[in-house]
Amino acid sequence: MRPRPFDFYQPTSIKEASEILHSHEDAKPLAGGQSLIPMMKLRIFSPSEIMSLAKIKEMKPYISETGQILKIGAMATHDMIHRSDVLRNAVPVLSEAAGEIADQQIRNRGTIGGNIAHGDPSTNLSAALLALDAEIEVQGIEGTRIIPIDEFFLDLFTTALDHGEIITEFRVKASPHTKQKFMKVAKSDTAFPMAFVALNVGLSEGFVENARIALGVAGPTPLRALEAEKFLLKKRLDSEVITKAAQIATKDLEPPSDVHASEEYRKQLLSTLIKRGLSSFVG
Amino acid sequence: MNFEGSKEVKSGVDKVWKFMTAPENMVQCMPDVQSYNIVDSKTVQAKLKVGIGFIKEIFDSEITFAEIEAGKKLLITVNSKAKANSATIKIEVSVDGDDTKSTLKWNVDAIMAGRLASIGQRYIQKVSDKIVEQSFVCMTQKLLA
Amino acid sequence: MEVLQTHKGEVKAANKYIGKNIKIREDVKLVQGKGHYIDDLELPGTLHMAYATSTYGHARIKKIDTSKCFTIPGVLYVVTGEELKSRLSPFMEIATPPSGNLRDYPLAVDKVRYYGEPVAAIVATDPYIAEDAAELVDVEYELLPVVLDGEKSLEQDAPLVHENIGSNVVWKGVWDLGDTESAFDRADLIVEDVVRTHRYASVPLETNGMVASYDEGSNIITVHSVNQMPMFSLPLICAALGIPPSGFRMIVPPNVGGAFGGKIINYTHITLVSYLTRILKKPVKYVETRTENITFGTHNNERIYHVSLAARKDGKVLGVRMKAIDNCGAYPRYEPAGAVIWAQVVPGIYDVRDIYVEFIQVLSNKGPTGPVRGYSRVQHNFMWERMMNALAKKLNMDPTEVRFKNLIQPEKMPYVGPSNTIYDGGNYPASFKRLLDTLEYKKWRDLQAKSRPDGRLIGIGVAAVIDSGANNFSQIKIINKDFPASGNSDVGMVIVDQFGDIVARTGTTDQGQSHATTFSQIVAEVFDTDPEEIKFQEGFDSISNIWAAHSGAYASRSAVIAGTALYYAARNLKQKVLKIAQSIMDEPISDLDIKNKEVFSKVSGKKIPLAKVASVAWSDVGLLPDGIDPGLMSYAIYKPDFKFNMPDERNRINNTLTYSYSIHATVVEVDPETFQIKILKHVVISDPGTIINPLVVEGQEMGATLHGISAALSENLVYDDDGILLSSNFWDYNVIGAKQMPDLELLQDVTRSTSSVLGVRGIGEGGGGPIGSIINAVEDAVTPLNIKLISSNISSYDLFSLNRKNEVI
Repeated sequence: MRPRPFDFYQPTSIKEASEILHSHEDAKPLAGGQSLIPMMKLRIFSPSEIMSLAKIKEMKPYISETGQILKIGAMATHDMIHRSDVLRNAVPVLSEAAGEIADQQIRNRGTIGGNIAHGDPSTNLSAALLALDAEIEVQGIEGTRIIPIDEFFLDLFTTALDHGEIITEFRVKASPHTKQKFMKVAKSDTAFPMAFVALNVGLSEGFVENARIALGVAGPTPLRALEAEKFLLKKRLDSEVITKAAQIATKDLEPPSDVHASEEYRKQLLSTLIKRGLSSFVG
Repeated sequence: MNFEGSKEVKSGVDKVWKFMTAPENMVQCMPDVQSYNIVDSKTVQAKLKVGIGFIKEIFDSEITFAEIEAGKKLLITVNSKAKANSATIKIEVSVDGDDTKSTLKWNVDAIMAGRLASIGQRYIQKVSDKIVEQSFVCMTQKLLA
Repeated sequence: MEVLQTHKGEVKAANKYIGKNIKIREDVKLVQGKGHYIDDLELPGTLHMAYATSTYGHARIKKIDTSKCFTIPGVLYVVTGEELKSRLSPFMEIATPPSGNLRDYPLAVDKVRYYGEPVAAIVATDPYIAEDAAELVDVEYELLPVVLDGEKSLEQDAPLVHENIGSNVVWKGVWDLGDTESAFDRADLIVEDVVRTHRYASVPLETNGMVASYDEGSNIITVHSVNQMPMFSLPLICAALGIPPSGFRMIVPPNVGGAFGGKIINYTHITLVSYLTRILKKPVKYVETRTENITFGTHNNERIYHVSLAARKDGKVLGVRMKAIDNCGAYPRYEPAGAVIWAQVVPGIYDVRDIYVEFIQVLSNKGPTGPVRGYSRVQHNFMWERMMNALAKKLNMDPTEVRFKNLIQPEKMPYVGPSNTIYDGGNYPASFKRLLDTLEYKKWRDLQAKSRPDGRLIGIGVAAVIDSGANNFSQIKIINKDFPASGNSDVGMVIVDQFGDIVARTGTTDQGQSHATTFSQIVAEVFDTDPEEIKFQEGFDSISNIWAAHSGAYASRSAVIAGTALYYAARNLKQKVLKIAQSIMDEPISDLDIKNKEVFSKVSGKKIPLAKVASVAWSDVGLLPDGIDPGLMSYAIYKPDFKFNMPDERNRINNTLTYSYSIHATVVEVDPETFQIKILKHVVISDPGTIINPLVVEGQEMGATLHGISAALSENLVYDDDGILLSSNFWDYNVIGAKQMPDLELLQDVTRSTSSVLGVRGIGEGGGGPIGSIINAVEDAVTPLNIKLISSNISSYDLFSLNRKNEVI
């Protein structure tokens, strides 16, 4: 780990943190370092100022339940999320997605806030939170606001966060009665993934009440298969419907190509994962 | 790496050609220009901030313009260097049309080399395509202004 | 001091400690973080070196401006190829001219020839500053066309990697063994096929590293490095620097974090830090980053085989002809040694005597190659196993049946092959049968047939490799008869110190092979003393330790050669101890023996501690009997007799001493939609010869198997069309982890080696056995899709693409 030089800030309150970010254009918040540290080490991204979130007193990691709403502190690690019984019961897709992030050492360090703020279409939790219709609480110099996850990802590595804003919390509705699944294809735990999907489907007497299908490594941002979701509404999940939904979900996608998979192959993987995920809900 | 594209513009061929062959017009439409220096009528040196999302490097670039076919076809060569990155890009631009409207066509042949090309392999083609497209959109806007 | 020359004869089958599962003493220390690795070494005032590397695959260097580097405080020196060209001699090449004239320096001179090639080196007060400055090196390049493929590099108009040698050919040779013409005349059928092996790397956990320091007073450069064949590398380094070996001290730290062949061609970095320390008069350190290690740490050779195989219709192979084109990247370095090393396994495990091989090694714009676990034989073994399957397919026979028809029979052992290799025992047919029984071959074939109509793609593959060990350097004479290396040798030393402790040393180095445990067992056997009581000195030092010129851990040679030397040293020392004890105890030597650090009389039962003998031998020397020198120290050097020691006019030579084999059987299932490949079962059978420590042997075999699985299914160094390496870090170069690994069943069928003194065979490499069985299994699985595989690497993405191509046609 030999990054380019940087100044280091370690604020102890959110207010102090947003002031630092606000007054330093190049400052980048550091949570668990899962993405930032390797990029700095490879010297493909070298912020001249790093601001650690580790000592901010309001940002201690937590997972709490208030009625139907589950609140997850931005600094909660993947390991915490994966091992939380509350989350496993209420939002299994999130728990599964967290458990499939890289290896144990990385899950011990990486945080949900960092995972999302990165704006990377290849992070597990972005798909899981999309599927769960999460709300993102952010705080900045102007105060607190809530960004629905559907409005959060704007472009490759580009999010709706204004400079100076920090993600503080995620809120998801407990949905123990919907069918949820996270599925991923990658060469190894730490390899760049080939494809993944997060599914969240509400069924009523065999008919689809609501559906959210989120796709990873499918385009410049984490994406929802909106047309497929619409198509599924009020339908029974038989094999014909499932196949059609998988087709609709992937037909207009332009996923990236790399050594692991071409655009075409990624489309096929995404479509297969959707098909298998949906099939598992009725099997 | 190869890619191409085209754009309609509501300006006559002559106007477009004149615009294209003036380096100061062209350089202003290049991605995130930090500074530039017009060396002569065919050569510009520029610092361009290019990258993938927030992952950006400043590329020291030498851009040369050569007419392949007067009034019709231009070759823009960009030789760029940044920390541990290089790019050699050849853009063939042709303009076709009449006095009121024309079509710009571009054909890009790029060798992206170094760190970003290796690590950013999965995004670099789409991002490059977009950057070139944006540069031409900028041109058409300037032509109409 | 007693010095023993070549020995013949065998160790008696006394096995009290040899062959026992003695706890591996190194492991606890390492997991507790108490090891000493190269990066732990901090000499006072150490400076740090970093490279600026090439962004292109092939380009002329028009200008290098390093002035900006010095804008960073702490930067002390910047060196480029231009300076080295006038201050160093180019590295010695193994090949003769024209390719022997190729010029190789630690930094690119005039041109860059592969992506990531070091172009300039920066020395600074800390490694961060050095890397910051490396980014400021401004190189003006003129792009040149790249040549990446071995066959393309032979084409008339191919870009030349080194213009001054006139072509891209490094070396060419022909093995015309037996009578292929007659074999092809007698054949019922000819099978023709193309087999390709892919580029992957060693990827040890610890990357290459070295620290050089210079003592002005003595004019000696001392280098601490992870180099795994230090005394072979030393002359290369000294010749480049223009200093005699006496002015150069080579040290290897006690712990090296794996090598797998990838720590041999690091002599280029060693030369450079040595050059710099002499100028700067301060220690200079360099440790590769992971990206650098993947980019130039050592790649495995790519090879393309065009094979014609002549056979009878009952499946018996009569002869084979092939042309092999080997792609060694931009600089040969240890190559073209690999161009002859495959010849250790000319017929694979098969009794085929009429073989014609035309071998060509070529350059390309890719990273340099060198030894990688299974070096040069893995490709050849893979070729055989692909051809056996191709023949079975053509004859519509079961691939295992074809193999049974061709295996070397046990009564022919030791088997002198068509190129005079002497396979030193083993029962191939019996092992193969046991392997198939354990796999439940028939059961899987039935399941495969039954499940195909349901769309399931199950496949079964088998493949064998010969893991030849303890190489004979004389094979290099095939390439260059004047190259000063032949045979092999290593040393052992045993001391009984003043307090009566038994201390052992060898010349070889250790990269995690558990030498301390294993070698202690050999000495323990001789002294009939608990191996825990034997001290073993780790690390290597060319000034204060013992060594032979071939010393080092490579080519699966340590147990066979250093182990034998140590055995002789121990045996001789025991005799001296008894001679002295005889006079102290006043009993005839024939009545005396040693057990648990005591000399005892088998007759009177009287005993004295070893310490007593040691005290007389070392200090109380007035009491020594006449004719016995002081001290209890025995040194033995062992040079094996390979029988066919030198190559003949047809390139025939016994080019290694032991020939351990392993046969792998794999069952895979391919997902018909995602094309993901899952290993359902993997069984290995091997014959490691006499086992010194079963835990160590099992660890080696497991590691080799997992490395092979990873190579076949994942690890692949991919370059784009412009020569940019796309798989340059662990996001894209994927070493399969524990979670992806299947359960392994390891079986052994042990026979003594007929060639090695201790009966052991070298088993450190494993030769990439699973590569053949996996590719064969995957191809078998996708039979309904009519997909043909050529390469030694297969991914789900490849299967998707191959299937798509079929669909389009």
